[in-house]
Amino acid sequence: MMVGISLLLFVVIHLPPGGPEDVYLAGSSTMSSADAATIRTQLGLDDPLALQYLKWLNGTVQGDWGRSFKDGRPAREVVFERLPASVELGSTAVVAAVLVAVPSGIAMAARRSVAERFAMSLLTVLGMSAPPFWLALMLIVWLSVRLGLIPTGGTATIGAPWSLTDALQHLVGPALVVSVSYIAAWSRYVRSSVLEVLREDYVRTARAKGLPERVVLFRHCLRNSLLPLITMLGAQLPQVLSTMVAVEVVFSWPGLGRLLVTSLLGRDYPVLMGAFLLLALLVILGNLFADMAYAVVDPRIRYTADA
Amino acid sequence: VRATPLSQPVVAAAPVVPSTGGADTGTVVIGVIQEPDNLNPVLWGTDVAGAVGELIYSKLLKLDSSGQFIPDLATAVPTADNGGVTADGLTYTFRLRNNARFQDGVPLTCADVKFTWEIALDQNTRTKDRQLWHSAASGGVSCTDDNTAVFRLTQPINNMLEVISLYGILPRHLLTGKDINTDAFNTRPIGSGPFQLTEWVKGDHLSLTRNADYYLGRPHLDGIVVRYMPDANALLAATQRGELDIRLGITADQLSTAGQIPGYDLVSVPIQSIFHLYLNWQRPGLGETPVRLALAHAIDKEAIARSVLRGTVTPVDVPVPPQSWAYAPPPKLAYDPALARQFLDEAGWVAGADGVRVKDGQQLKFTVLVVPEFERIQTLQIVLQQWKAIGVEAELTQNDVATWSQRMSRGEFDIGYGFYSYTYSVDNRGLLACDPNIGNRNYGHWCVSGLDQLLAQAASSTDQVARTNLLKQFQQEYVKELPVIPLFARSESESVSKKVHGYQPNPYQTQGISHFWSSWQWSKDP
Repeated sequence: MMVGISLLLFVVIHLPPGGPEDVYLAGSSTMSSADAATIRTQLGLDDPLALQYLKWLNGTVQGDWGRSFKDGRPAREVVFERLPASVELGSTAVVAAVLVAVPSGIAMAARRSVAERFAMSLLTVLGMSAPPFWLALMLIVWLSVRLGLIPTGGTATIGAPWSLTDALQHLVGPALVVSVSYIAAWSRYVRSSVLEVLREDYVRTARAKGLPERVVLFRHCLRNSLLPLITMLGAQLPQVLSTMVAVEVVFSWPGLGRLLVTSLLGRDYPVLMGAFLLLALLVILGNLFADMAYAVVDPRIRYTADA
Repeated sequence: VRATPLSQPVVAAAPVVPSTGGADTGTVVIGVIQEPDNLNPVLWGTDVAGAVGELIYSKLLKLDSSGQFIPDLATAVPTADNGGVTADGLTYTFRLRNNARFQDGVPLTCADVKFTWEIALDQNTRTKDRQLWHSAASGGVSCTDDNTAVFRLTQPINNMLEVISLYGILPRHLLTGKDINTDAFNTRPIGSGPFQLTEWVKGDHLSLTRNADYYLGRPHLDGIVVRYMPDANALLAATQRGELDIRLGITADQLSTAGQIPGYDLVSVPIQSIFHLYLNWQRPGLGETPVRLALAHAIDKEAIARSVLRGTVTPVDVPVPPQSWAYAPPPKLAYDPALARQFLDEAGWVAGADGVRVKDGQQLKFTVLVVPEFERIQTLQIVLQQWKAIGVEAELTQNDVATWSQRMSRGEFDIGYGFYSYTYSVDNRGLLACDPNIGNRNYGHWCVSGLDQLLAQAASSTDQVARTNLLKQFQQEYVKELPVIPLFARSESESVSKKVHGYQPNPYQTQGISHFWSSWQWSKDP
């Protein structure tokens, strides 16, 4: 599957007009077009695309992802050094979103008054529709510049020794922006899912037994209503990653998203291939984990060889 | 800032380090929007790399912010008078100072200078400015002794000092036998400049610390941090919070806010870069002089410069930057729509039923190719309206830099909008020469033979007075033809903390000449 994805990616990446040498030319008036043509040849970009792909594939299966056009470092190194920052931001945001979305979804399901329901719908619609880059800027203007609560960007204070407080202060802004739209979306999802389960016969039975509403909600209803959410989490991983691109740019977060943007604009093909492939792999793994978690949460589901 | 002509600026003595009390004065944090691509002067291709590189490396000569060439590794600027240049202009001799060391302690000698030029001209090196490197050493570099470098040319050039001032000297002992294109040196460089790179956190910042053995004197600052933030608004916010001491690249819409930040000065410095409208002469009308003059007279440059660009640019009519020694423009081209209409009428372009002018069945209808950047789009929206008033219709096509650049190079455009950065020597034949091998940015096959001849004469002249006169004559003739329409000379706005002293932005900035040329003299109040 990865070979298929890589072939598709390779073609798509080389599709937009302009190569790295065009970027160099646009940025320098001391460089001549003959210099640019020489560099293009040196980078192997004059070879037929099929040959370039085969060369890339041959190297990649042997662990050599090629080298960045920018600084000549191995593309694998360039990509992997950005992974920790993205994992830190992404996982914090997703965990935070789930931790907030599940209880608020249940709360929304339990609230029946028209005013309460309206207020919650309004909030979630706002949360889902606020563009992340705008939200990020608003956060910087208010929390950072006006109130001085968080720094304007980066993962840590430059020059200071690492501390958890400092790291969290830098993390909270971007993580909040990434999680907001998913809190809104997933809490609505949990709400509808809980409402659906609440209509099931066994819930009516539980209530008929005289169990308190709290026990009905949490013991009988919750586990079943979380099943669809898990599938959803796996499926939405690519969207989370795309939200992170915008947030990483505004918050100067040195993650994969920003690497993608700069490599795309600079036409750094080896790094682009590496970064996209890594993301594809992450999405596949995300879905795999979702399937496995599904089995854990729902004992009825078991993956067996002879099934 | 008006510079003196090329042949005159000569400072024989080494720059004197002014006393600022001598205290070790902390770290200056510089905020930039872009990350250097690499830190090898042969390979880099971004302005920010050139700027950071200026902190790490030293060069034989430097161009200071007043337009003077000053000695750096060399003990004097070579001239005919001091015997540094032979009468035929083909041999330049540089005496190197004997106390320069690389940051690992190894002495810098002529062997390093020779090596730097050889590796740049090696066929396998991905040298960005190969032709320029070659022009300064077309006959090779040789060493008479450890401290004497001799550059030989096969033909005299008039920008020798400038080319020498662009490139830092690489350490031979660290790069011999290595593949310079991919060596780790490119991100962990060792130079002989005032600051040494100690950390590069990719996507975040670069840390540099003082090179205490720097040959011009111990730098005042403990260190410099270069922090990149890819969003202009985040850079503004970081300045407002006091996280940055110097912030480069303020956008026009941020000017009023940036001007009010307490503790910071708003500094504006011209850069040798001009926004042009590139006209494709293969398209209907654009090869005709009256049409080009009409397009130019229909644009109210002054109003655009004042409004959307908020005074960050200077309207210009000629392809020479206003701070240049060569700038000698004729009287301004007037904003005069009536005159523009008259030009078109007389050339036989008459308004059709839809208001768009037609001749021989062809309409004056164009697309303008532009990189989607707020200020450029705003500028063009006004230009388009003003053209519409004289019966010329145009719409915008937005492309990213790589696409823009390729489409321009291939002539796949009607009109393009973008900037061209000039060098100190103002050899603008790259933009304007009729011969495509010389005019490698002649995107639209424009060619006016009279102008071409003037530029060719100026380029081959090594006599500064003759050259100045030729370029003056060129500018007088240029506005009668306007093969390319220059609109605005750019400047850069910066926030500089009042605590920082000695920072002197350089109006002659290019990829090798930067605002950081005097960094060892900077200091910062506690």
